[in-house]
Parts: sequence; C-alpha cells; structure tokens
Amino acid sequence: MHIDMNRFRAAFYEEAGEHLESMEAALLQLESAADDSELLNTIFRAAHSIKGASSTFGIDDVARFTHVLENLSDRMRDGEILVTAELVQLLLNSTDVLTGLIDAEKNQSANPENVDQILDALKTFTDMAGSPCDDVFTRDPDRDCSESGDCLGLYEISFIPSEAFFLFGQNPLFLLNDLRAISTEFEVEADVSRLPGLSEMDPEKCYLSWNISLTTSRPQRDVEDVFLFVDDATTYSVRQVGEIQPPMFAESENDSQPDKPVSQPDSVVEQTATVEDKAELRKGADRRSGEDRRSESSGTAIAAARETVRVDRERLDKMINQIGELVIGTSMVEQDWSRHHADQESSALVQLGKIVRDLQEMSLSLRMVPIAASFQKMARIVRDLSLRLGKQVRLETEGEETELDKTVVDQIGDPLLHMVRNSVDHGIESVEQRLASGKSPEGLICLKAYHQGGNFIIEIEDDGKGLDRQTILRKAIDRGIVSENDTLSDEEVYGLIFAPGFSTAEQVTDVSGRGVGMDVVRRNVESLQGSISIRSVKGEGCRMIVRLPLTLAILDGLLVQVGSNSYVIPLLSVVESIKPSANEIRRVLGRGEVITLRGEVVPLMRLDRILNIRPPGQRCEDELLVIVEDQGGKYALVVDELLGQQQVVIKNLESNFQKVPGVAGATILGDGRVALILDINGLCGLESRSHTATTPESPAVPAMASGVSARGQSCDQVTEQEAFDQ
Amino acid sequence: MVTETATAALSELAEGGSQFLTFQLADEEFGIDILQVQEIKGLTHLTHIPNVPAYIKGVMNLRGTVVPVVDLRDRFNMPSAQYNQFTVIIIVTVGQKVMGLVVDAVSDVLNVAESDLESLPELGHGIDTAFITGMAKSSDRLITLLDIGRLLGNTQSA
Repeated sequence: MHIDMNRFRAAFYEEAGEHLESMEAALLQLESAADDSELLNTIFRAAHSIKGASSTFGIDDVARFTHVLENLSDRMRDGEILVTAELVQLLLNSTDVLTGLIDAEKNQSANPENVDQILDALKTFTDMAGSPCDDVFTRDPDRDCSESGDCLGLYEISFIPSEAFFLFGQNPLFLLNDLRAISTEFEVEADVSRLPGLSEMDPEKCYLSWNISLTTSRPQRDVEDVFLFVDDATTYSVRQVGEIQPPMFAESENDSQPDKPVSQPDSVVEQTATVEDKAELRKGADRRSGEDRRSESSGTAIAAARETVRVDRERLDKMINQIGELVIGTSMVEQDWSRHHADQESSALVQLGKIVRDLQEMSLSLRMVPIAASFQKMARIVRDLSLRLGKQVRLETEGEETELDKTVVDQIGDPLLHMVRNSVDHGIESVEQRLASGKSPEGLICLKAYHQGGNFIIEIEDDGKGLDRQTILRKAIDRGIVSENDTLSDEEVYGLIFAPGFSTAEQVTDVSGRGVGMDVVRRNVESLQGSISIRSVKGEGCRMIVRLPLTLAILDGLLVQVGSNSYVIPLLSVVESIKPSANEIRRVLGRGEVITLRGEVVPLMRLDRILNIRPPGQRCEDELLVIVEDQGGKYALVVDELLGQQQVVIKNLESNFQKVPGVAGATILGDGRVALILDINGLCGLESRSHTATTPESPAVPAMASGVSARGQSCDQVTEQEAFDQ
Repeated sequence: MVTETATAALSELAEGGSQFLTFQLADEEFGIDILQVQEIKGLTHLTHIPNVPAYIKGVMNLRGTVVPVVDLRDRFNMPSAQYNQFTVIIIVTVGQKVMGLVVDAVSDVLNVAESDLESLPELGHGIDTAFITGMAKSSDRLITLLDIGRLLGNTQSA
C-alpha cells in the first residue's frame, strides 16, 4: 500500500495551524476568565491533537514540546495549576514557539532559538505544582465523594485497540501513560492472545490489548477522557469496581486550603488566595457542569469534523469558475431560443435557468468563511503591542461570524493588521495622557464586521486622540503633496495619510511610523475592489471604515456602450445616470468639462478619449452620463448608450496578460464577447494624467480631488517590453 | 542568460530535429515550435484594450478564458493587412500564459531535420533578431523560426 505522506503532511500543517489558532484564542480569553473550564479544555485538546499528529509524522521536536504543553494544560484544567498572567504569557509564547517549530519542519529551516528556554519554563511550571500525591491536605468531610473526586476510585479498564489502531496515528503507549499519570496505583496486563505467528504478522496492525486496574482520585469521566480520541473500531470499557475512603487525606490539590503551604511561586500563591474563595463556592456545581460541557462539546466537535470535507482551494475555484461558465452558456442558449422563437417561451429553458442560477449561488457560498479568524489574530496583536508600548488597550469585536469570500479574508489580514497597529500606536494615548484628558485609562479599540447592501464592512474604531487635521496638512505641505493654497475637505485631508511615505508619527518607532503602512493598506484594499474612508474627531477618536465586496468572483455591473465596445461599470459605484442637455455641460479652462448636478459640480470623464476608442470629434449625438462615486468624489462618465444591468463573472486580465490601468478585469457576455470591467479609481488616475499631459503649464498639483485618490501607478507610456513583462 | 537559452534551444533542436507549425506573414514564412501551439482558431470578435501597444489587438473569449491577441504583422512592423477569411489566430502557450497570434494564413506542419537547421546569419545592425532562433531549409523554402516566449517579451518562461 502506497501512502503519499506529503499529502497528509500538508493536512497536518493546516490542522496544526487551526489548533494553534484556537489555542491562542482560548488563552487570550483566559486572561479575563481564568476559571472557564471550557477554555482550558480547548487548550488541552489543541495540545493533545498536535502531539498525537506530530508523533505520527515523526516530528519529534513538536511532539516533545506539545507533550510538555499537554501535561501543563491538563493540570491547569484539573485546577492543579492556577491560571496566572505569567502563565498565560508563557503559554502564548509557547504557541509562538510551536508555530515556529512547525514552520521550521515545513520549510526545513532552523528551529526557533528560544525553544529550550520556553520548554524549561513550561517544565518549571508543571513541576512547581508537584505531583498530585506530594502534598497532603485535610479532607473536607462535607463534600460528596463522587462529585469532587476526593476519594479514591478503583477502576478496571479493558482496552482493545482496533487492528488499524496505528494507522489512525494513535499510540497505545500514550494512552497507558496518560492513565498512569492520573492514577495513584496502576497495574497493567497485556493480552497477547490475538498475536499471530511471525509469518502472518503485519507490523502495521495492532494485535495487543490490555487490562488495566488503577486507583485514582479523579472522577470516572476523567478516566474515560483518556480514550476521547480513539477510533470507532477500538473498544474500551471503564468500570468502577470499588471506592476507597481514605481516613485522613485526599490527594487532590483542588481542595488545598489557602493557609497550607504549596510549593508555588509567590505570585501564584497570591492568586490562589483570591481565586480560591470563589472557586470553593462554585466548585461543587461547576465541576460537574464543566465536565458535562466538556464531553458534550468534544462530542459535537468530533461530529462536526466528520461532516466537513477538506477540498483543495484550486479545485474549488475551478468548479466555481466552470459553474460561472455554465451560467453564461445557459444565457447564450436562452438568447438563441428567443431569437428563433420570439413568440413562445420554453418552460424547460426557464427551469434550467433557475437551476443553474441556484447552483451558482450555492457554489459561491462554498467559499464564504467567517471573518472570526482574522479578528482573533488582532486580539493577540493588540495585547502584545499594548504591553510593549506600556498602554492599556482593550479590544472589542463584533460580528465575527459575518461571512466573506475566503480570498478576501486571506488578503484582508495584512491591511487589518496595519490599521490595528496604527490605532494602538498612534491612536490610543498613553495612560497619563488619557487621564489628563479625562478619559478612562484603558483605551478601547472596536473591530466590527457587518454586511451592508451587498458590501462587507469592517470598522476599526478607537477612542484615542483622533487625527490632527493641522499636523497632517503641515506634513503634506512640507512634502509637497499639497500646496498651501489648496482648500481641502476633512475627508481629503484624512485621505492624505494613505499617500506613500506619509507618516504623522513624530518619531519612527519599531511598531509603525515609517509611513509605509497606510499606503499598503489602501493598495491592498483597492486591489480587492474595496475602499476605505476615515471619520475622526480630534481628541475623541478615529474610525476607519473598510468596504469590501462580498466576493471577488461575481459583480453587479451596469453594461454601457461606447463606440462599438461594451463596458461594465461596477454597479456599486454608480449613483445615477442622466441625459444632459447640450448647454448643461460647461468647459472649464484647462480642466476639461463639468456638469452642474443639483448644485454640485461634477467633472466629466469622456470614456472614448480616456480609453482611446475613437478620434475626438466622432461623438455620439445623444450621449448619456453615468454618475459614479469614488472615494475621491463624483465623476460623470460619458457613454453612448446604457445596455442594462447584469451580473457578470469576473475574469482577470493578469492571468494571461497584464494589469491594464483603468480596467479592473474582463467578463464574457451572453453573446460570447469579452467586455472590460472598468476600474473607476484607475480611470481617475488616467484622467488626471491626461490633464497634466495636455496642460503642462498648470500648477504642479494635479487636480486635487483626483490626486488624492489617484493610485501610485506609473501609467506613463506603456513600453512594448512592459506590455508582457509584468 | 538570453544567449544561453538561445543556444540551449538551438542545440536541443539540433539534436533530433523538431516539428514546426509554419505560417505566412506577407510573403514570408515563419515557424514556431509545434509543442507551444494549442490550437488554431478562425478570426473571432476581439475586444479592444485601452492604452496598450498597438500590436495587441485586444482580447478574445477562448471557451471562457480571456486571451490577449497579438497581430504579428504589427509586432514586426510589417504593413498591416485587412483581415479576411484566411486570417487565423494561432493559440499558443507561453509558460503559464495563453495567447493568440494573428497571422495571414497557416501553411503546414514541417519536420525539420537537424541538418536543415541553420543559425541566423548576421543581418546587419538595426534589425532585431533576438526572437529568432534560426532558419530552416525545406526544399526550396526558407523558414524563419521564432522563439515565441522571447517574442512576447516573456523571457523568464521562454
């Protein structure tokens, strides 16, 4: 039997990444809810799963590390080790190390340097709690024996692994060791009766089974938990055969009295004293419900895992693409039909069209994932950064379950990171400054996600000092981005922070301030067909609103005709379309044409000129204006005709060609022709370039309104080489 | 680097000979490696792309894929011709990219033996020969062999 281990390895890396993510998330929550047993369980499960899988693949470094981590987290969930800030920090560091170790294995690179250091620290913590029987405590006579696990239970376990036990990546030795770890007395007997002769033996099969008798202070559920992850064909039974009531003591540390000496560092003892009281009150009830919840949730987790299928992203994309083609194909057939049978409708065709569109909708939903994972990463960033900068910052998230195309989710991580960093570094003030301005010492950053009219919106709001209009303007004037005589709206001023190389930070820190961040943010968001806007009140805070399309695969477009070509204008940017009377369009010296629209002056963009469609002068008699809105302002696109509204499947030009300024992509229309999808933002860039080109004597500041939104593209003459090089 | 790949390509051809698809541009005959040819299509509707070199005639729909089309006459600065019923588009793959080439007409598929391959003679200055890998003789015809990858400026995938 040939097994392609590399495929499984890829799955391991992916799964390990997910486990680490959930571990990190649980740790961060643990900081505010130290006694939540479900969180501790999550951490334990993650460590356990990674350990099991990594030892299957022989990744010893990872297995060794997670083993220690698992032990520690196991004792945490049993309450033997109390959760302290120090411990959480250590565990967070160890998730980093673990990520590093797994990456090192994946890329065949060197292990992170601090592995041993963290490993030692973890071991120290584990050892500090002592083994369960090291310390002696008086027994609380009121407690119910079976609930608290004070008394010793005598269990007999029969454990018969399936033949395929090893193939599932399991190791019976681990299970036996786990059992030994929780018991005070432990006897194991191997049953070799199933063992065949040497000639028939398959070394990949498991023939052994075991009978175990053990004494433990833990409840039966804990014993059963050891077998939580075994495969279905494996049978085991855990039977309680007796109970020993020790006259004087119980082994569990759960009941440690605050005044009893425990070999723990000072900080832990202090914590112990405070947590202890609460814990004492709740323990009876909590422990049980915690246990129930644990088994329940792991049950559903396993069930859920069975219901999901991992599919290669490329295959999924191909399928979605093909379904897109099917939609186009269907509408071609529909058009054909109506051409030949104008008077009758084919019910079969209508039915087919409906099915195909349902199928497309379904296929698109396959790619949708919640934004939660991206938000979770931010929690860690905020925490680490605020510690480093000595600020107090709390992160609140809302709408984490809002779904978004996976491609978008993957690409929004970086910009989000920059923006959150920016908020912590520049937005939120130091504790002293906050107190001085009458705010609470703790800064608040709020991440919100929601759907709004076919858009996905992420808001990053902080209650920091806000953007300083004057500082931004001064810097911009210093750098020659704007001239002193320009009058800019607030929106335009805030937009300046997205200019390349622009930073308002007085000092360049290692966190931010080099002026690359926001520039990158805008470029990334724009490459996703999104936009950013900023609202800010000085002294009160700043809110950045990122608007993204739900999916990159399809687009609602307005189909227009210019010359003999059809173009698609993204419907999201269309405000209205009008038919102007000849005298409404005014020429403005050197700045082209404008139209006054309900008091607002809107510049005209002649598509035929910008796109070099036909020589000027050959204009359509009754041209129409499509008013579009971009973050830079409104523009009126001059078109010959409106052809209708249509959902189009986006194809990129880059895959076979290159990026074309002013063009967001292409699509295939119902008649099989290719139509270009216009990129309003890029068109503005082209437009402002053509203005500077035609009027070289005009001031150096190119039309401010579009200058702000103009992309940093060098759209100068496309040389022959460049045309295919990119 | 460029000369290295050129010599490598030439010596590879020289080893066992190769098959070339030959086509007409004006009264000249050209050949491209048949392995790079995906298919041959009749002229179809081309969608104009703004602000690109004039030899890029636009993009076409190849069963759902958007494919750029280059007019080879324009690329070689030959006088443009009216497209007619013989005008065809040769679909080629260059690395990962798929492109179309507009040519006057496709002639045939030619087996060229090693001995019939000749490297390009010196043509004098001012003539760009970077995308020509050599010449092939076949009876009384002389065929210019093109390196599509380099021709389309995509040197890394050539």
